Amino acid sequence: MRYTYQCALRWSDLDVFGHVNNARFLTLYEEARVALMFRRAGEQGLTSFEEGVVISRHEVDYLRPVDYATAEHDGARPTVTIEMWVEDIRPSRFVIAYELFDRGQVASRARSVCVPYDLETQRPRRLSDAERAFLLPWQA
Amino acid sequence: MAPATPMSASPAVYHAQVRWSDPDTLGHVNHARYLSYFEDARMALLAASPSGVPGSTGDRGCIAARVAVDYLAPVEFRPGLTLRVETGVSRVGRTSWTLLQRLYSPDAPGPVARCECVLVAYSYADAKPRPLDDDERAFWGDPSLAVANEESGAR
Repeated sequence: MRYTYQCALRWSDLDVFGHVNNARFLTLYEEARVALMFRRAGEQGLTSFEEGVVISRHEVDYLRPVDYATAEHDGARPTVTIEMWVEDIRPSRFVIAYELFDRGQVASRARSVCVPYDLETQRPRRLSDAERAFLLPWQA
Repeated sequence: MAPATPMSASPAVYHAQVRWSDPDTLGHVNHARYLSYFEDARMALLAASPSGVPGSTGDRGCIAARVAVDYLAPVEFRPGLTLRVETGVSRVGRTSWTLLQRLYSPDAPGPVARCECVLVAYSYADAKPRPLDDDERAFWGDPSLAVANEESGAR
């Protein structure tokens, strides 16, 4: 199952070429991830991700530029659509995969390795049963 | 939540998605990010205007000459938080015009910030201000966008 998130673009996401800057794609992907792991999970009573998850790896492929002026529009704002799913679940990490769409065409693909992390002890921790149960339906 | 005192009858309204990377370590939305919310609201209004979004096809060119922001209340970050920006026009001159903006949070009864922005109609080709065209003057001077100058705390 894929999770879909509409992410509004900001004028300040653009660089001098008039395109969304490559580094900002990580921020857009982050917004989708936060929506699923913090907001959606929180609605289901699961708040442990909010207490600490760190990224151990990102990879991003850029397929076509995203332009602010011609981007898809939700009626009020230029937006992109991000679809994401869980690619892999391990005892102490999981992998999220994404596709970013502009006007129906895939503009970028990415992958993030996420590690549950105890901010008090500053150490990685294992996924809880509740976290695994939350992630499982999103595994492709 | 509805604002206690609406800025005008029909101001331009923009909804800004607050990002995970917007708050600082205190958990408050960082003050510098407010400028992006106000900017994006202006861009939405520019996109609907004859002036156009700078850099887009057919735009006539404008540039910011002044941005002043008053911070009225802190905004606590939470995932999914959306802030509302209302934008009105307080002055239309020969080559420039002034926007007054207010930022509202669903977690606060009144505005959490207000902004004054002076935009200058600007020819990038000539690198100098240009007079506003009649249709631009009509758009920015429309009574539905008008707000009183004294509503700004940014002087």
